[in-house]
Amino acid sequence: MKTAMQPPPKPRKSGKYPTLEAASKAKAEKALAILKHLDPKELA
Amino acid sequence: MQQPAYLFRRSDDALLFEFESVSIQRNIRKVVEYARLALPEEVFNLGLFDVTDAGDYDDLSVSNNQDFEKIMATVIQTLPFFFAKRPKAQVFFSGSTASRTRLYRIVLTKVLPEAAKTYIVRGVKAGRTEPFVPGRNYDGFLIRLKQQPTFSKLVP
Repeated sequence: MKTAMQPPPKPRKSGKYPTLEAASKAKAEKALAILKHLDPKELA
Repeated sequence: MQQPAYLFRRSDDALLFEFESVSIQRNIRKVVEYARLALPEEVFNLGLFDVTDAGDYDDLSVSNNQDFEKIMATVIQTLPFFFAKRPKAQVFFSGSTASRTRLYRIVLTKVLPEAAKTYIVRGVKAGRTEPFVPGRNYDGFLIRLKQQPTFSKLVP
């Protein structure tokens, strides 16, 4: 059973994903981690 | 002069492209995907994946097929098809590792003189963007159309 004391999952060392959707989602998260710091004007 | 590139298949919506990296050792199926990001602006993430023999999608594999430039040229050739459908969109891309992002920077530096006729290329670093400067490290890159050419002008 998961508890609040569990350590966060280790980052994956492999870049393998079982589906394109999963791979795409992981890439999108990385992209958003970079882009979320931008002033919206920079993307306008 | 246009770099040699692989022939590719594309989806009708121009969001998914597939081609094969070919060498004497092996052929590797590659997928280029443009994925809309959860942002108010129309920004798509460009992903490049190897499809493994097991059917997994891998963005960290090192294939050593000695065709990196040809692969990059192929990815670049998907851009006109994408922008033909979405002329106001922006494409973001970065490497799956810092060293790959540097490799992309080197490719961009090489193709920039030609690409700058059609695209605006910006570097993203520490929460800011700026016009791409060759030799400068970035977290990723943003590409948008410089103008809105007609479809026939855009797609080769």
